[in-house]
Amino acid sequence: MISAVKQNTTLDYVLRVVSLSGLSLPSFWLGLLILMAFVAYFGALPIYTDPPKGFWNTLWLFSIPAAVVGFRSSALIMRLTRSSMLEVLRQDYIRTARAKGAPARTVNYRHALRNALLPVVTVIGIEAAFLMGGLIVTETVFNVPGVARFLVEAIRWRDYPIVQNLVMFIAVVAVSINFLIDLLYAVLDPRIRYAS
Amino acid sequence: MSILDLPVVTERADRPESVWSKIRYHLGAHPLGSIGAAIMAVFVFCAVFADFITVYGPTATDSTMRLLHPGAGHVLGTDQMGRDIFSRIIYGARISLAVGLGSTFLGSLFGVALGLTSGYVGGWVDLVIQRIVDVLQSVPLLVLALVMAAALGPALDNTIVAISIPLIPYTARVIRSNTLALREQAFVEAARAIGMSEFRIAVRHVLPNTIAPLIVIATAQLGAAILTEASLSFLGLGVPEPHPSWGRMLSESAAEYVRTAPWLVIFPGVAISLSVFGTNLFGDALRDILDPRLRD
Repeated sequence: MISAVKQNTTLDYVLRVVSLSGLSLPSFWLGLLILMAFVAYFGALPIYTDPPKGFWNTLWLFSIPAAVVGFRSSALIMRLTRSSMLEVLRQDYIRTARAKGAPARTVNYRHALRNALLPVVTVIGIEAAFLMGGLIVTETVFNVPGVARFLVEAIRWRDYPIVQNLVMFIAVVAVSINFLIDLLYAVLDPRIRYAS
Repeated sequence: MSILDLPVVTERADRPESVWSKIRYHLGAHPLGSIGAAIMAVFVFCAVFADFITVYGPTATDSTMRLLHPGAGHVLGTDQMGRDIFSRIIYGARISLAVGLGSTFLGSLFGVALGLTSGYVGGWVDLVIQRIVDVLQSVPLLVLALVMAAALGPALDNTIVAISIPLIPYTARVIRSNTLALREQAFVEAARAIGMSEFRIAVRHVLPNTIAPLIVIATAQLGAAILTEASLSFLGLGVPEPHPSWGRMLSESAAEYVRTAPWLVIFPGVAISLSVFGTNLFGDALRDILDPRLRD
């Protein structure tokens, strides 16, 4: 969002490069680098060996893979928010808001950001569903026994019934998340009404 | 004095701009895009002239030179079998480029065919094709590529096919929506009025007008295809062993040599990231140039 308000400044370029690099780094490589850094500086790393005990332990174990996966998603969302904001900032009502003397902060946050968020929400939904795909490699690197890793193992074993079911499961999750996002539109944007 | 006697003034602006001046203009207007183009050019150069750049063969093993540190002789060190990492990365560019371009081309080919048919013919054909596209799109890209790769078996051409299939729905969607808009244009009606066949209108008049969005989406997919190839090879389901693939190099070295030979992990990763980064930068600039809606 900052990137959009300050379009074509140095800050904009820096932020765009950061977000693009976030999209370009393969998540398994980033994961490996983080593992290497942990080994080099702390001599140990919170890796998944036994099932975690208790809530906080679970959170601690999952924090690093989550950060690796999240870096990519946040880069994507940043890009989208930027382009969406750029479009909204050019609208007439933004000019109206500026003309009536609303402070820049109010215009940027209340008028522009709220309207720019709608397409962003769509992508967050798609991304949440598609994370399943990104998780395949991350789960392999961090040895987390999740659905995606199970899928890779099943493919290695040539266990096709399991592969079929897992792909079906992933597709169902993706479709349900998309459905929830559709419902969320109506909440976010009062103009959208679904005919019964 | 009549108006015809006035001297004819030819202005510079009347002349069609040369291709070079256009390119120079865009290079100045999109510095990030030019960096991306430069990275891509280096990448293509490495892939084409791999034989001349490298000293060692990509698959030549040497048991006396195992796990050498980066330094003189072997610029980026050697791996556990004494193979030169630099050579493998340069030859890996060839594999990545082949898979990236190949799968993007195949994906675009089928995507355009489906999208054009779907958008132009309409009716129940449109309905059927769109539902097939929906089904393909409900499975995440990497999951679909993974399952396809596993079903086809590990080989270079199979990897290309496996990656191209998940790319089809995106291209088909974009081309369809474009075709829907173009179908209503006056020039299509004019072509029909002079008695052109429907197939000829679709291929000769509608298709060329969808080229700009096609180029934009294809460059975006090129980066995704390279990344997917690396992920598939990393999981052992992509390009098989004798070929030097970047993803494969990472997975071989990752487990055992992370601590003893970090250069085995770092350099292939840098190669993947840089090439995808360059493609993305270039694709972004291209979208800004070709898509007037988003032009700033």
